Amino acid sequence: MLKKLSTLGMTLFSVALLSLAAVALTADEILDQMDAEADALAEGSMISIIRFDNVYSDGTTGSNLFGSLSIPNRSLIYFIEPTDVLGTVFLTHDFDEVGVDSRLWLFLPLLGLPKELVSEEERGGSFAGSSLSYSDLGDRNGGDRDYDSVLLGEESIVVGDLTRTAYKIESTAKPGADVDNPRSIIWIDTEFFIMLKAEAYNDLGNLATTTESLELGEFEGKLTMKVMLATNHSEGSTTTISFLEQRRPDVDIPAETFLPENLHAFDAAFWGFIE
Amino acid sequence: MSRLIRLAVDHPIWTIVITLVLAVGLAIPMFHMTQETDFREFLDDDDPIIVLLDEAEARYGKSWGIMVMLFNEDTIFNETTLTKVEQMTDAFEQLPGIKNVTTPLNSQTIVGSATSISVKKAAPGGVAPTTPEEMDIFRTRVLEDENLVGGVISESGQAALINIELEVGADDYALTPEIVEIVDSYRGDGDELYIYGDAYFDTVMAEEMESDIALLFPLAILVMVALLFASFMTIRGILVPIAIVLLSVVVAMGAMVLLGFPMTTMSFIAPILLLAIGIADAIHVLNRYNEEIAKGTPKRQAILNTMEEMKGPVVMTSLTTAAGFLSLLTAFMVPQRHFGIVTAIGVLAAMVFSLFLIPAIMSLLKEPRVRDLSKGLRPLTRVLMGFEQVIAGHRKTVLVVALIIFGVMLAGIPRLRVETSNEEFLGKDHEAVQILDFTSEYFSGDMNLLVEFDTGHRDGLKDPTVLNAMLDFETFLLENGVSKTFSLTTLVRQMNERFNADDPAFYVIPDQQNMISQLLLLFTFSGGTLGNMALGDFSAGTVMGMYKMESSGNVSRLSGVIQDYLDEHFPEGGDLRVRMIGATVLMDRMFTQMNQSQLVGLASTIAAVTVLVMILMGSVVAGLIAAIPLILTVTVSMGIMAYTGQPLDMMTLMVSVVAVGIGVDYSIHFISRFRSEYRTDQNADRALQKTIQTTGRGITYNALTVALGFFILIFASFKGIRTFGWQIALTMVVSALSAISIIPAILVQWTPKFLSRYPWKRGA
Repeated sequence: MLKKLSTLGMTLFSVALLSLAAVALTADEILDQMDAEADALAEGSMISIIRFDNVYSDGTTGSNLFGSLSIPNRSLIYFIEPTDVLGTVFLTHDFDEVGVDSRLWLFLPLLGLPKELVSEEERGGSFAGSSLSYSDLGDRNGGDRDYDSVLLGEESIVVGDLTRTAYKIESTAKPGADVDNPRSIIWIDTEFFIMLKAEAYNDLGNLATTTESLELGEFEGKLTMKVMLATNHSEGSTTTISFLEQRRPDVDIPAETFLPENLHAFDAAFWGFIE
Repeated sequence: MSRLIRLAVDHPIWTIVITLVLAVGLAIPMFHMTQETDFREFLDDDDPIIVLLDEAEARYGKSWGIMVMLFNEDTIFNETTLTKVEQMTDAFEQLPGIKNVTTPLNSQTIVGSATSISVKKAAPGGVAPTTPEEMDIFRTRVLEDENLVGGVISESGQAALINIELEVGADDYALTPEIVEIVDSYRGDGDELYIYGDAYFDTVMAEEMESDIALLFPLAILVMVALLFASFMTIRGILVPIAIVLLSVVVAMGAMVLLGFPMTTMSFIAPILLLAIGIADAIHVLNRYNEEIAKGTPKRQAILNTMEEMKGPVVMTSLTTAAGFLSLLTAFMVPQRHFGIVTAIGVLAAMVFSLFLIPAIMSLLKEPRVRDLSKGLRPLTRVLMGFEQVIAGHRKTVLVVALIIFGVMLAGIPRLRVETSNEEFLGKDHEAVQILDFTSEYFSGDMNLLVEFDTGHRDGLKDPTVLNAMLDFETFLLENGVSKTFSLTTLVRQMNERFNADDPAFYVIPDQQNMISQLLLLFTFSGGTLGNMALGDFSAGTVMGMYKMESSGNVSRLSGVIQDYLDEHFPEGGDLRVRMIGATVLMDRMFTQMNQSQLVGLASTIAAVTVLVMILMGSVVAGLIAAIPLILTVTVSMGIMAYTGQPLDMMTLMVSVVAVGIGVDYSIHFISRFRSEYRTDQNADRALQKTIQTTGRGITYNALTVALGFFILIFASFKGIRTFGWQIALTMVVSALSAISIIPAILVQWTPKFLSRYPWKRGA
């Protein structure tokens, strides 16, 4: 889970340092390269401000503003808006060991203590009421372990006023794999190896979710995704995710910040999330 | 018209060819006939309730589907039964058009401890427990969750419910057989499986309508054949009227498809109805033709004389009958209007065929060998003669007796109860109703009511005042016959309790809105879904209540007390808009509006046919006299229902309309013939004698035909249709008796001036 959250805002908008072996790559090699670029970006401390604009299936809307801190294997999301949940903190610890589940905590300020979320459904559940699940935010649904991928070719993808060339890769669940979406198609920038667009199909072959870049930006000299649109076609809801700010802190974020027992003392003002 | 009839007689082949081309042309669309049994489709799209429901569905989704109940005499908490639940769930989820499948295994439960909280499936992964320990944990978890008990698991643990929610627009007629097939493959092992739910009932009703038509229509034709044989004793006497009515049915059904009307539980009796009604004119025309032939008139002239004599009554009776059915255009429910239009088209088609096709066929065929009708009909003639003598000799007594009957029946009408529930329509012995009764013992009922609490602003639903108002309302519902309620209040209280290590003291709505917001955030973060409990921005949400319908009266009662509560606690213009938006308010509106519109429709039908008779016969008095048997028949019909405890429902409300539409024919035929006879010598007694012997006999035969035609409906699958059938049959007999008793009593007693004035047909 750490990987998923630490790459929130990174995986989808990471930039390739080099356009290595851009010729004659296989689908797996391209996907590995995308993961490697995301991992490289996740190294070190990162501070982000992210906004979610949701349009729910019933037509109503809502917004969330989050501040995010991350270090390798640790991630913390601080709720800034709406104000009734101001101060709520979502904490994740992830582990490199295979088969070890991530641990999740939610700290509610009025209750004054963190509760560990031990639901098996959380990975498929909505992230803060948005159209995204944790699975959507994370890596490639188990990547090579669960899917067979093939390169379908290259296509031009228009993002805002940019036209990018992308690898088009189709991933199909391996027999017996326990996955939500047995088929997906992903478009990966051929130069910077960031995902520009993705489509996931459900068991019935219907389009379940799509993710697409609406605006690209730059971070540390790399191409990143600034605004993306996630659509849950099954539910009929959308979420526009805007990365308002991304920066490296002057000094690394202390690991103690990410301890559940310290969440009650989390200083949001210090990190610039609130005044 | 006479010229056209002459044309048909002189060009019979062309007439028949044109008729057949028309019939074939209209028969083709019949293969594209659709069915509609969804009650919601019975109202107009712009009906306020439908607009409200559409709006509600757009906000909260559609809450209808199919339920599968598993019952095990001992307990469903065994691996075999729960594995069936798991496997059936997997199979249902694979079907296209299924939105969601909820079972005791995959229902969300909230589990809390001092350090953690989780919203998870009641059985991990939604998989049936296999070890005794897992089964114990699962049993405890579901039976202690108040959201699940009565919802997906019975309190006794003997029944589990699988809720299959369909996508909006899903084809339930196509899905139901697939679901039934899956369920059938899991029967046995001590488990009883029952399927029910709106979508399932709709399909069952549609299937039974089809099989009923397949059975009843041929049966009705057989009855007609038997009666025609008894009447004419000739092949042509059978085939010609049957051909006329079959063609009329084809025209009506073809027109129904072309007009875009689906077949409904109401219109599916139209073919049988048309058989019974349409045959009357053909019988009268053939009878008259035989009379002419018996007099020795040459064939061509006999045909022309017959048509000259009969065109007036045929046109008049058809127009009045059609007008009677068209008066259903004022009806509240769409199927009633469709039924009225389709039947009117069929009646008019029968009129056209009787006027032109019968002469064409007669001109092609040889002159019939006419038997001595008076000999063949001696018993009936004798009865009618005796009847006529009683009427003529005791005119005032007849009228007084009629008045007494009218008064007695009228006095009973206030006792009439209105009942339009599915149970009443299908009948207590119908399998679907028995299943409903059985399942209701274990779950919270077959009807849901949905009440929306709309604050009008974002997060308004998280206000503790609003949630407490919802909670009070739920308490009120539970005190007034609702078995179970679902809303955000239970969830918030559960989350509060779970977050506080299951301390029951925290099973309350927190005082602070922020606390509620954070608990709900925790819930969704923990994998919970709110479903239709709240809108995404928490500006509005619903309270859903489940209860057993029992009767439409119960629905109306509940709807009424809820509305009173809402009016008192949430007056219009207040900060909180609270309104009923679900099935209950839809049903209530249907019940109340249907009855009102039907009574208005009935009055307008009688008025319309009376006015039509006045115009056609050129006499106000004639119209009023024609209306008397109709009013008496309707009163007797309703009175009998009242005294026998039969409720007024969607179908029986139509009895009176049909009775008027058909019954007016008897009045017209009788008055016409009486006037025709009276004009010859101004002798009322002789006119009565002649009318009774001729038209009276025709009316008697016709009433018997129609009554038997409708009586066939007692073999229908639905109790509502069966009741409709025998009531119409009874009403036809009453109608005919009224026509040949009250009308002659009045005519002979007072010999109104219109009898000698304003001849309504040339050459009379």
